[in-house]
Amino acid sequence: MREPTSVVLADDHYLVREGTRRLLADSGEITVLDAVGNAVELLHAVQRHQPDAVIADIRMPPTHRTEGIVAAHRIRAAFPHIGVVILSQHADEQYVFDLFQHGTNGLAYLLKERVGELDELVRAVREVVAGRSVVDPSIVEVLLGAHRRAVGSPLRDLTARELEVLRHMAEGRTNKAIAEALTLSESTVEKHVNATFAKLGLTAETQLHRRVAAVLTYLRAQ
Amino acid sequence: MSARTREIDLATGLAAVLVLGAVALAVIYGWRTPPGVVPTFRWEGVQLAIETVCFSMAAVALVTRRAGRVIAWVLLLRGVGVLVFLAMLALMAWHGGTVELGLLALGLSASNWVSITLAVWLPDGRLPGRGWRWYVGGVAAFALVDVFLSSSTASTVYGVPNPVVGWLPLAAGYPYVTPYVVIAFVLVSGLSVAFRRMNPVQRRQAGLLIPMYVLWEGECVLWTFNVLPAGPRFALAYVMTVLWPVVLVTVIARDRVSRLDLAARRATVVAVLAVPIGAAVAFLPPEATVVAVLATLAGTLLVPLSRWVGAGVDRLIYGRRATPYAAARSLTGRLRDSLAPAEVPAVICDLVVDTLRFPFASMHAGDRLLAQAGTPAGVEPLVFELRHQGRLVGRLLVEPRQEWGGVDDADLGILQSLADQAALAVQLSERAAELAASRARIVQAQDTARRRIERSLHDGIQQELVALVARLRLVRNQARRGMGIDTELTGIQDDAYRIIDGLRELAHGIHPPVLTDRGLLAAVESTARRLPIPIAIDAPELGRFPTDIEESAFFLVSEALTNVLKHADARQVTIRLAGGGDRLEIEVGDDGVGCADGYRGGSGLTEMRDRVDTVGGHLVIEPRPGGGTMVRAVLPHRRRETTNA
Repeated sequence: MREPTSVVLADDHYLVREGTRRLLADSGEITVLDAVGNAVELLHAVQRHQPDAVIADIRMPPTHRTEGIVAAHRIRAAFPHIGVVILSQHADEQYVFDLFQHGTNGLAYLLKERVGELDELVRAVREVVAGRSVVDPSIVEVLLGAHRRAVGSPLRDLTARELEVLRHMAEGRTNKAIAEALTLSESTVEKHVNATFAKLGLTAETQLHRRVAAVLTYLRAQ
Repeated sequence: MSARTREIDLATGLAAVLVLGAVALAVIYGWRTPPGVVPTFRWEGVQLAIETVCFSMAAVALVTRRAGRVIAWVLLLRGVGVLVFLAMLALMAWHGGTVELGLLALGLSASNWVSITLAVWLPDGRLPGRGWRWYVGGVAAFALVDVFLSSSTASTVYGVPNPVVGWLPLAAGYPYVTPYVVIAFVLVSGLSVAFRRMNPVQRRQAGLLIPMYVLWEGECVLWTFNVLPAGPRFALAYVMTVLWPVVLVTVIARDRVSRLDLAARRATVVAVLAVPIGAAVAFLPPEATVVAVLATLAGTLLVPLSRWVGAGVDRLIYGRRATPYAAARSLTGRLRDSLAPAEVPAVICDLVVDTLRFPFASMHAGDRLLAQAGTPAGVEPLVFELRHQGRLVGRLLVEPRQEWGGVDDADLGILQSLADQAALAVQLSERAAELAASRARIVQAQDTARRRIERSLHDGIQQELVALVARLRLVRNQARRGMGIDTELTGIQDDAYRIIDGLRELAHGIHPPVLTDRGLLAAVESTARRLPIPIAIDAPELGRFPTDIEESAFFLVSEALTNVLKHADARQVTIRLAGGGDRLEIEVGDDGVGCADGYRGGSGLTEMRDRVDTVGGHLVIEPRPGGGTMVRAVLPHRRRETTNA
């Protein structure tokens, strides 16, 4: 059993906040140090508790727009070792670009309903604590879809397997995690990764935490 | 008719008479020199007559200008003086007589007065100061005294025996030259003071005119005192005679070319008419000359006179009808009382019937009757077009009246100007009606949208939640019976996910959050990514815009994309967004089957138009060269909120 990861939770909706807290505590892998209702309280709690990670709602009082993203940037600037997972009701890639505008490290963007898949949420917390990034699969799907439709897109040249690998890379998975998800050997995954990068005309990113940024930047361009 | 127009007509008439008389006298002195007059005066008489012709035409040109008015009358006075002098001299030569000599002296005084004082009226007909009135008056008195004194001392007047010689003994010692020296001194010193006080424009004009005046005056002085030999003296006199009025007119009228054209036209007409008549008259006996002059005077004044008399008679007979001024006054009064453009057609129709006394008037926009007044008599109506910015917006139909001499030019003029007045109002009220209809459609569209949301909440999401509750109840039963419930719970979770997706889609349809949070370009991009067709977006450095502009623009793009997917059968869509200055330009082009030019139909398109109208923009939907359709819109906005969010 690993050391439990400590988090601070922020969501203005009481039922969601308490439900998530109970779920996380129930997992046994995460300790919730504090649960707060807005971005200002969140910043105070982070300063006080110095958690490993933060899980924050994207929309919070007072304007209910993108307070969560603004808070994430401030936390990452002040405490580079604290990872931030944004839970959002928007399945829109524009918010991901907004979140990642200063870099992808230690940041994750998940749709809110992922709290129902506790494993995914816990994995995302672990990834951001390790300085990596996670993007919700539904958003990666939109980006890939738009690219595949474009005439002359290099994505059309990828094999089905390579497309799978690209999808997992965009979601922020390590080669090991991709290998597990696709039941392949890690070396095979590595080969697919290299082939994919070559076909897209990208220099292969050995630095894993820069890989998501490279793939997303590529997918963002239409 | 204004006093100004009357003045111009009067001056033109007088000039015509002067030209006519001058031509006659030029012929008389040139070819039928009156017996006894000194031979050298023959060419002086002709020169003076020519001068009168030139001055009269200059006066006609100048009188139309505000700055030239006074100078025109001064020139005309000189003409009158010179002509009286020449005519009386001729009569004295033929008949003798003291009355003629008196008139001759008066004429000579007047022309001398003008030649001495003309400089002080330059350049704009105003005296340089109040004190100059004394100068002008003093010179007038001097000119009279001077001429009468010299007339009573000389034994002959230009060779003609003087009937009054020796009547005034004290005139014998009169010093002729001294007063002129005094006058010249006052004039030169006074004018140099006045010149310093002028503004630059006046100074430029005076700088040209006053040297010319000095030359002309010098020529007069030389003539009076017989200084130069005859040859050079005549040459100088003839040149100055023509040059001086030309310079005068050019300098004063230079600033306004169109007025000069008008004046030149009048002057030419006068000259062309007067010269042959005058030349013919000269060969008639002297009595016939008077008749001819009077006849010409009557002829010249006939047109303006008939106009004045006509206006007076109109007022007398028709009462308050007919005069355009009355109609215009009445219209402005009524327009002030009822400001609503929709009421203007009725006001104008009433005006045509009540004030102008036409039997029936009606106004139409297309096939629609806007207003009518009076009782139709079934006569073929006069049609006046209502045009706004060149576009036909309606028609004014007026049945001509049978009594009061039918319809005249003045009626047609006032009716057309009423139609012009109505055009703007009709255009405005049509526009207002269009806007009201558009607003009604927008409200209706909002209601429809609300009903659709209510339906999807009740029939969709609420039903699914009820189903979820039922499923949960089932699981509880199974759990109570000790059965495995894991599969069933997974199913329930999937259902819940589906409900969440449905809710997200619904919320997005009501208002895409990304539009508010990230702006127009982000919203358009994310819409484009979700459509099953490649879409190229060209929007370099598009910032944020006021909320209503972003919403209208997004609605427009979404609607255009929906149309492309539904109808166009396109392979590629291009969206261009440009937000320079105070407007946002939107273009959505596809390479599909295209549309007919000027296509307006379809409820989706109507909604797009309404949406664009609401923010005061405009929308064009046209075929794209090379196939496909282009939707182009320009939305004006007052400011950019931020350059980037």
